[in-house]
Amino acid sequence: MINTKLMLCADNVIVDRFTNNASAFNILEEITPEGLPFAYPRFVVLSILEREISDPAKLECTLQIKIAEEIIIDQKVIVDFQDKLRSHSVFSIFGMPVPNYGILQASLLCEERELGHYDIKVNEPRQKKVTTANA
Amino acid sequence: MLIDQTNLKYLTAKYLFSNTPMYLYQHYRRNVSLQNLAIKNKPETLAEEFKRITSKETKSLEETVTAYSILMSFTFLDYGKAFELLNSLAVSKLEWGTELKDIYNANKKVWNILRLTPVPLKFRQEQIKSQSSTNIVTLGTKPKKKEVS
Repeated sequence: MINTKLMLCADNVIVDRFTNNASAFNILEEITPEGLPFAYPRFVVLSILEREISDPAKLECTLQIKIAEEIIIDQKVIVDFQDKLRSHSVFSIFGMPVPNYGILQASLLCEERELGHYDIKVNEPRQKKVTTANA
Repeated sequence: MLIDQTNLKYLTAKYLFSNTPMYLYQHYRRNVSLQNLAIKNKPETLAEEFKRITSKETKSLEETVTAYSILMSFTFLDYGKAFELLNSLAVSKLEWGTELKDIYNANKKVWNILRLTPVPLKFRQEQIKSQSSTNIVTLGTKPKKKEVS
């Protein structure tokens, strides 16, 4: 059975070419935009999956990102384990539109089974208070 | 010459100082020139040079270091290609060739990296009230031009 060891969303994920280790920067938990809708400049999903020997080495998965039941991204992706039991995936989305506030959920699905998900709270835009000087 | 003199000196020093395959592996793996070796040269060219060196009965120090460098440069390639090349070469002809290959196989992590560019936001503007206008944002649709009376 395929299990998710880790799934998170961040501003950036880099993979050290020499050690093959990953580092995530600015892990996202909550976003308060200035206005809606807005485009998130760089949104990165890091996913680490583990399989058993009996599981296939190549998985056809779907990366789905939605907010308040509105699907923003629905993309077929291939997760390749090659000859290892663990696979690391980095999905970078540049200019991801966020049309509304609510819970932004990034999920990885395989044959309609959710392998893992990560939730981010998108707050309502800040209300700007305008004060005028008395005449 | 596959490796310039400056880097060859450094790699030779590391080779001479290595007392274990892991030490050699870690230091060669951190060397940028070996990463560039894999990028700038065709794998087949490097493989040919490796075979030429290892087929010799007596190898010079420079040739031995070059052979180890070529072997380590393959570890920077895509895993499938690297695996294929390392299996096709007679790495056992180098004293630590098999050990370096085993360390690579044991430490390699599989990475799937994908970049997506979603459909950009399109704006459609329509006037709802006579004194105001509202911007309605629709994803993925073409903007419609409306005349404002």
